[in-house]
Amino acid sequence: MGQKLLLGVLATVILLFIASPIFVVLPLSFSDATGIQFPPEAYSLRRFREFFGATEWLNALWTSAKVSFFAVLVATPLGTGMALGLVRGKFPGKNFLNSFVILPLVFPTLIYGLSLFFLYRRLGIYDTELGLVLAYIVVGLPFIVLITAARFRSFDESLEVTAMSLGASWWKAFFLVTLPLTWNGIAAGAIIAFIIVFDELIIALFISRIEEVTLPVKMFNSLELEVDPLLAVIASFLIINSLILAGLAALLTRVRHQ
Amino acid sequence: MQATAATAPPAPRLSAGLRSLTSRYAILAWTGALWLLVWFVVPVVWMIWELIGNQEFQDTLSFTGAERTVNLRALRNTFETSAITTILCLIGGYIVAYFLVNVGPRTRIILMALVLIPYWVSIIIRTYGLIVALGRKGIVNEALIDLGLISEPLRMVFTTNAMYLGLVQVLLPYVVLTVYTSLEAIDKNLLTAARSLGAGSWGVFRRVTLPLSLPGVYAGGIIVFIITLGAYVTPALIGGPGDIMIAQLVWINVTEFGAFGTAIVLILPLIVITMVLFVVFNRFVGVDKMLGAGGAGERG
Repeated sequence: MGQKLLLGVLATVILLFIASPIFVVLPLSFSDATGIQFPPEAYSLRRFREFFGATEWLNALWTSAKVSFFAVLVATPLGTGMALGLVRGKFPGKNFLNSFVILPLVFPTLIYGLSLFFLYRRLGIYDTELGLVLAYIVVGLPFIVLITAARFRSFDESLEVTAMSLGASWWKAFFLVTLPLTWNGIAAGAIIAFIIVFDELIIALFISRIEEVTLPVKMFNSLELEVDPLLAVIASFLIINSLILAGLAALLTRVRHQ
Repeated sequence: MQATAATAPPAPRLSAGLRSLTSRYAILAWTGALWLLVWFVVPVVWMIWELIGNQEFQDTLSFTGAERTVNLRALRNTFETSAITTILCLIGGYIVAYFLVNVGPRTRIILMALVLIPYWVSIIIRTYGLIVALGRKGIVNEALIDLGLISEPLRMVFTTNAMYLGLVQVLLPYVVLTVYTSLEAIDKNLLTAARSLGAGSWGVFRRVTLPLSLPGVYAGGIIVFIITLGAYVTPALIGGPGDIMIAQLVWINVTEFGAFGTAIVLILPLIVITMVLFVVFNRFVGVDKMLGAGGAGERG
């Protein structure tokens, strides 16, 4: 019994430690003080009001939202197709592709960012939104493939075969049978990819420094130079945003169990 | 391996191979792969090619003085940091995962949320939280002063220990998820059998539970090790001045000195080791464990 208690205490301490930044940042954004002090002495919504007047932060937020949206828009059909091919197909090189698609997940983003820095300067798309979108399609793709592939694996293929045996073309069977039944997995994949891409920092540091600054880059710069009190507000906003989206993705993947 | 087999199969099988290659599913899968080839593999390979051919690279190889010492120190530092972070995450992550498996379903949901919520929050924000907590007026210093343990606030932010705290905080969830998946898959009858054969609780753990959970331990360990090798944000923001790792040195060399030759010397070992670990991981653990439960992956 003593062992179990010790284990429980240890695990709880570790868990609280992992989650602690969130419990620090959220109250800080309601602080009334001008500097950073935790716990804050007085609370107010002052910083939130300031945030909505800070065009630089809002611009960065807008850039990040746009770039992430378009990257996910391209990566979702691409990744869904790839997942479908990998789950259903039997063709040479399939095992290789199964691992290959995970590579961008583990490959040091610093090196990838550096290589894009060279390539983009050559191509003339350095420090542009297009450059960011192209990079983020690669970053988001593995997540979409992994999550949608899991959904396709648990989908009963015979439904699609039945539709085709009743005269539907492959495309018709896919869009009228498979897609309506698996959309939750695809949507979950897209949401997760969006969260990941929206938070990406290192690649953005290499390929967008001056004109197109994303929110993570702006946050990093702010932390490195002098801590802007508004950072707590934007951080709280992002925490809530990530949690709503991740919760939504979790709900979507749960639908099929009913 | 399979890729070379696909491009050069024996003649009689070629037609069959081509037919399946052009099948709809193969086209779908290869379209995504082609995208990755063009926008991921080509840039990286092209960069390596360009930089190795660069005269500056040859010069860097023959460095003898201070630069060489700095580079070697960064390399050693990186491996040391990765190894220590991995060990810390494995110990902490295993404790949490083991506890999660052994509590009731309700408590498990709450505790799992404590693991997953930070997992989905940006690294910069988590590091920022740590900076605030450890700062001069942070909660840790205030608490220590209130307890009368110290009279002046301690300098905790830009230190090696702070860097380890930051890395562990960010990477521990990976281990929890992979180990939890392994532990949960263990047949509970095995534990009962071991107990009925006279094993104590420590004996059951050491001889049954631990060996069966090793795939999750390896998976989590490799993920944490690989990520720490390329870590930039945490060491740069809260690490001490002596904690320069490969990523930071590459960044400084490129953005401040334009010293691409030095950058490639630092990058090559990182690429080689990451690729080797990735292949090992694929062979022994399997890519599906990469994300562990992943919050929204296979387990929903």
